[in-house]
Amino acid sequence: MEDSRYEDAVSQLYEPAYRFARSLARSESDAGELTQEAFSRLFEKRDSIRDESKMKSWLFTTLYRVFLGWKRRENRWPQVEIGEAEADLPQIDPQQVSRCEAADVLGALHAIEERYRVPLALFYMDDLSYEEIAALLEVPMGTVMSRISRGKDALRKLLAEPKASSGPGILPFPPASTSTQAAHE
Amino acid sequence: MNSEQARFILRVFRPGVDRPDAPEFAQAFDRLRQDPELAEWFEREMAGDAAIRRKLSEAVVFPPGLREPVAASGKVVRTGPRVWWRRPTLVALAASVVLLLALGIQHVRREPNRSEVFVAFRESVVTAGQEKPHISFMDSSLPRVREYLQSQRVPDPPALPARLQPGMIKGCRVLEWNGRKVSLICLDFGEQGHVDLFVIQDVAWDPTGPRSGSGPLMAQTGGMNTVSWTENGCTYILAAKASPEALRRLLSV
Repeated sequence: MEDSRYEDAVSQLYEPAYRFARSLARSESDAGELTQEAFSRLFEKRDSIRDESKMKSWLFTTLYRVFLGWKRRENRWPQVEIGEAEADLPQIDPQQVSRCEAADVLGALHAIEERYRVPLALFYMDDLSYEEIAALLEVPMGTVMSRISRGKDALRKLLAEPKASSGPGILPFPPASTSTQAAHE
Repeated sequence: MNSEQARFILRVFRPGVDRPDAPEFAQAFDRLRQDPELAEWFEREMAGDAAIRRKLSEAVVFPPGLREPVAASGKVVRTGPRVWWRRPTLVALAASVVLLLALGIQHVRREPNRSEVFVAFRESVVTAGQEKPHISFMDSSLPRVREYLQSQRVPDPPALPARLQPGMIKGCRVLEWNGRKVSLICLDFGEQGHVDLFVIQDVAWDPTGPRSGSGPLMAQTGGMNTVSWTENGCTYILAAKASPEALRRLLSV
């Protein structure tokens, strides 16, 4: 990849990359560092990326790997455990969401356990196909869908009870009760 | 497939991104067509997702000055494991170097008397777009608007940007610029009035225009904020009396 192509890649991808980083990291500065590190690695590996159409998924995967590496070393982002099961949650009310502060919705997303939060964030970002998300997470596509579905349940629960997202705690989570869900997970 | 199974699959469908006829969704959509209750549930689910998507998009504010250090990441030789960019002075220095380089390159690329074709085009169509009647073909159906544009032998967009939903369409009009036809598609923009999408085909712009595959260009023209980009052989200009951030959100995915 020529340097000018790298500049183009920065122009096209730094915003979606930062958005993804912001869904992983709890602070803007950590998200900024994650984004920089991912692009730094993109520059180092630019000659080995032949197919530029794969650049976005390569960058997102790298960003996620960097995040996992930091987390392992520094434990910056403690996990919130998943607790008791809850079924038949009501559908999310768009009017109710509209009344929420945007920061509260992002806060609720951050309160979800990481293995559900990451596919859920990618789902709402609309940047990657399900195949690309599955490759990024190294799980089958059915598992991605199952995790998104369960992540949505957790998010709606948090948005229905705003106080639940104000601090760490045990988040109620619905069971993978149907046969389809069981097959995917 | 029963309705419960279809519901499980449909709730991870993303309009504008996933295809209803894709293998993983096709059966669920077949079921949807036979089950009005499921269809009603699906509509509410998608509306809920759209609301969350909007909120998450609003929540992420891009830190000013992030792009420069990111671009500089590739220009600095790293001597140790991720340390230089933790030092603000080096980040600032790298950003300054990149900025100076970018300005220098732009200065060299732009010949003093070269006509800024794209800038003139943008100003011309955005101004003309505000003249009355604003639209000459009123219809909220994208297929019918496309049909009309095709009948007028003007470009219809290969695809609307993801955030511009077909349901927002109010109508269209055909403009002319330097003997070339330009499509104007007017879309509802909620409390912010309307947003106009201009489309022109196959024009080789000078360096002031958006290049295919590069990021969108923001500019203020004729009292409106605009964002322009080129893809699939067409150049698009989105113009509205709205903040640049609101326009960017329309394009963000």
